[in-house]
Amino acid sequence: MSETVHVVGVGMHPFGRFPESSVPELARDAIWAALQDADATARTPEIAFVANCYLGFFTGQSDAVAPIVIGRAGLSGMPMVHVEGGGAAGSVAFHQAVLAVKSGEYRTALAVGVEKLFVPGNPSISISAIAASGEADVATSMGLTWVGGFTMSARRLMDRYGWTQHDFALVASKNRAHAAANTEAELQVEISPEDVLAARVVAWPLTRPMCAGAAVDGAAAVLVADSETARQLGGGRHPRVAGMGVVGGQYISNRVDDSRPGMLSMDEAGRAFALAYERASVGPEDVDLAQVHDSVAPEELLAYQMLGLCAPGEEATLLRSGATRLGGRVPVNTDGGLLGRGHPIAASGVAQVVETTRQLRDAAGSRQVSRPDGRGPRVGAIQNAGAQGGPSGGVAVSAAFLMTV
Amino acid sequence: MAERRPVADGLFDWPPGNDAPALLGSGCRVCGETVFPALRDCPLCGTPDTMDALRLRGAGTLHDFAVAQRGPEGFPVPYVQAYVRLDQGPVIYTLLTDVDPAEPDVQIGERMRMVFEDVTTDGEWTLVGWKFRPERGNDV
Repeated sequence: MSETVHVVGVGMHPFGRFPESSVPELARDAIWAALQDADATARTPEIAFVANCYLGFFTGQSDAVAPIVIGRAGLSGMPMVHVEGGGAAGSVAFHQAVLAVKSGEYRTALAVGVEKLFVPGNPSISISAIAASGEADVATSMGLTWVGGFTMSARRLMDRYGWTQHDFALVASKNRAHAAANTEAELQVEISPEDVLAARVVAWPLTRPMCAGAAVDGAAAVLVADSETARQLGGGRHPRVAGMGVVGGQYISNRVDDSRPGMLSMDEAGRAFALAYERASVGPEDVDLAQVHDSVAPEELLAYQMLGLCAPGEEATLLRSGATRLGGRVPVNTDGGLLGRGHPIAASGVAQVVETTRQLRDAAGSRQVSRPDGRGPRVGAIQNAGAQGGPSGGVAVSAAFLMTV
Repeated sequence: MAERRPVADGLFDWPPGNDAPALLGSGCRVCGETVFPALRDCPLCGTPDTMDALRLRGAGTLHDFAVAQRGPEGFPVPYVQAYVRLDQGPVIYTLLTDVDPAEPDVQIGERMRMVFEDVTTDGEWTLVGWKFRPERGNDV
């Protein structure tokens, strides 16, 4: 038995800095926004998946996270499952929610991503916290940082594909322009490529606006349902989850002289999209828009290749053509992406689904994507990745989703 | 001065003996793959309980490096992060020492040699880990 799964409700707590709000308080706003978006009630979700990575780091609450987050939103009785996966944790929650409904076991499922990382006056602690998504004994305890890991890979890929530091500035500037049209984004102020280049270097060639900040809070939630239940819920259009591929890092022999280990060795993303495209019976040429994991700007360029939006080595050409800007052929990170909307780690993967759903409903306001014929988009792609370590020594979880209307 | 201990147990000999510095890895009896940290079960050929302890000597080549201008608590910036490919196989994360973060005079592919040095402190302990430095003419 395999049910068709629809996204029937989406909600956000804005991304940004909210020192007065707790993790459950942030999540509550997103959960209820999603339920109300679907005209659902507290009793509608039959199972809930909660993605959160650092509540334990900051408060010691390293277990019972899901029942606390769900219970403090006034929901109860359903199975409440906590999932991990660094920046991909939200995608893991969404994947599990879709699987729960697809199996026929549950008619509805709730996926929540929530994170709280901003501590006033202590930027280092946010960096220490996100290091918990890497391998402690052999990497992060000796100072490996996310940006450092990405930088080492990015320099190698600049040589291989002809990317320049200016290309990374174009990615950052584009996504910040998109975020400026998103009232729920962390950074709603545009920045020119020149100002991106002139900003403080974090690790050459990456400057500060080319890297998602670590000190950010936020939450996102989506409700999914089978076709019969979807017809009884909400007024709007309910996009389908047409295909998905979620894969883990794979061990590659160290006798193979490739670029591993590296944060940008995204073979996993390629494998994930191969699965998703096959299952959705669509191809890269059908994609109208995409949300991708741009925690550093070079990741977005590599994602173009992994999605099949261009041939290997053509990423910078695609970017420079304007095709991936709002108004272009296939806009990428229409809500601002991690660089603009912000990257409260476990919330990001769910926020990607929120944005894709709004776009496919033709309800994205001033940042609405349209096809050349003036109609709304039909196919939205999502790429996400997270956690370091495990078998590959690089990215641990890689996710691809294709949503259609 | 705080007492010293390794960043984690089981990764290298502690306290250090008279042998040359080495990391504690393992090698597969079936397929020959070498890994660090040590495993019992081979991640390449999938055979269980087939890996033998293997001392990974501290010689290798620079694979990638980056200068961190922001770091976690306990890591004063700037500092140099790197991956080194050990001559015995594994590519491992490390810190570089004897390299100026302001002008890192190292090249990808350059010969590197391992040393054990203080890495950071956790308030109570000084934590010791492996670092690599360029193997220039005066090294054996």
